[in-house]
Amino acid sequence: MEYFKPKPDYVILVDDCIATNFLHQLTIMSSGHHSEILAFETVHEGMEFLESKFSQQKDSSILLFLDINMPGLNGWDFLAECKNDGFDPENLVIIILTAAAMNKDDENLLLENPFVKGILPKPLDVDMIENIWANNFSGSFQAQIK
Amino acid sequence: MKEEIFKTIFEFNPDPIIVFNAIGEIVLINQQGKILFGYKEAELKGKRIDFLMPAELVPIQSAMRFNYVQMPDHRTMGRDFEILAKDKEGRKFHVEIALSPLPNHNDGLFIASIRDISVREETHRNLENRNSKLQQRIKEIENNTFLASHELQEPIRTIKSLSNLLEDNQINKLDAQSKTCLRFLNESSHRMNLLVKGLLDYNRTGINPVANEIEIPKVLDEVKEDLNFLVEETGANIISDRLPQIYGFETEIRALLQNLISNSIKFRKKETSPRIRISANKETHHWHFTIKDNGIGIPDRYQDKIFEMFYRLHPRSQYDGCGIGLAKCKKVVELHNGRIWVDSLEGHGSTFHFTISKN
Repeated sequence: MEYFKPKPDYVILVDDCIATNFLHQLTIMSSGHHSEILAFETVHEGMEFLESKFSQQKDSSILLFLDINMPGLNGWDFLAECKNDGFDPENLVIIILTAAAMNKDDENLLLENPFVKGILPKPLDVDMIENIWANNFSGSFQAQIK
Repeated sequence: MKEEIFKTIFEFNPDPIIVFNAIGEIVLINQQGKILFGYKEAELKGKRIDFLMPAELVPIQSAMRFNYVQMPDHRTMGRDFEILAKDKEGRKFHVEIALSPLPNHNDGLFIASIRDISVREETHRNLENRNSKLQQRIKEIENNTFLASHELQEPIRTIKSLSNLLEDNQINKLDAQSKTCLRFLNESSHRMNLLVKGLLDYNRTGINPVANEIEIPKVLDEVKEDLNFLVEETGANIISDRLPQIYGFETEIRALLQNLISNSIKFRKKETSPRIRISANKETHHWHFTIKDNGIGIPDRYQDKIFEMFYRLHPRSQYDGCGIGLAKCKKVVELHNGRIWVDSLEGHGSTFHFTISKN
């Protein structure tokens, strides 16, 4: 039997585009998921939240959608910071979001990262959300509401 | 001793050499000559030079030789004599010939130095072929980009019009979330519109430009006029030192100055009026321009990245933009065989530098 983490306490969106964050919030909500959803527009704000959450409660479970191409500090910088801060990949599941085509080398490099559990094209849809839940957390949402 | 030297030079010259007499008989042929044409010395003895040409060309080419023999002079390689030769196997190939009469020789002896240029010609043909294919491909891409940009604008305008219609007529019937959706719909289609226009403009930059003498002070005045609203609104102070007349593409140079100056205004510090100073220095091969501002500056690690297409340094909520402006500036500068870079300290303003070739 495969081990599944419990549902995430928080779903975090890190994307500089407000419209995308708004759309993703609606999409995640409409997939019936009730974790708290928070959106940040910069790497800095997102990191600040993670640092304070994990320092308050070491075993918080967080699912984070990370836009890889952001102005200034980008998704790569964010992943580097997560490693520097010594976060636990057991508690932090990161799904990379991309708008542009990504080259194979970058893709492989991302998938080797212990936090990264998937790479998806923007924008997210309900099926993608379902898949992420099914693959990373204790059953799909449908299973939870039964 | 001397004779030995000359004999060696003759035999081991990298080009084939044939010595022939007034009626075109081969008198002597060197090592490379025998290799090129594939004959042994004995096979060529007493044969005419015509023997080494395709039969159909013998009348023309021997007439050329006849003319030469009447009035011999020194002809260097590649001048006048480019003819078709034939080897023992029947392979025909182009050769260049340098000719020289042997001085003080009553019977009339002539030296022909021969160079097989078939490989060179083949390479040349291939290059030309590839070049014309490339040109065609570039034209096609340019054309497709142009068409795509126009095609894309139509659905974007439709989305915009429809969402405007919704906003005008139905806004009171919408709940807060739908209103937000509508607002983002409007903003996204507006951004898409700007992106497509920017991309179109970038791709058209430098297509068939016409070079002229450009009065930079005059162009700068026009740019300031265009930016008038922004200048007034922000209280920007734009000063310039003595600026030159340069040779270049006026539309492109105007866009370059406009982009850099409007950037200097856009990335100003809060509560500080932008101060911008434009100068130019004459260097050996280039004009070196600088545009210095008192804005927010650019951290070290991004100073190269900012010139990349679609690269943006700030979230859209802080500074709007498509990430095309500086990429276009780079394209314009490179069109003028110049270079663009920035000197900056975060929080202490930026100085953009670019060079424009004097010719």
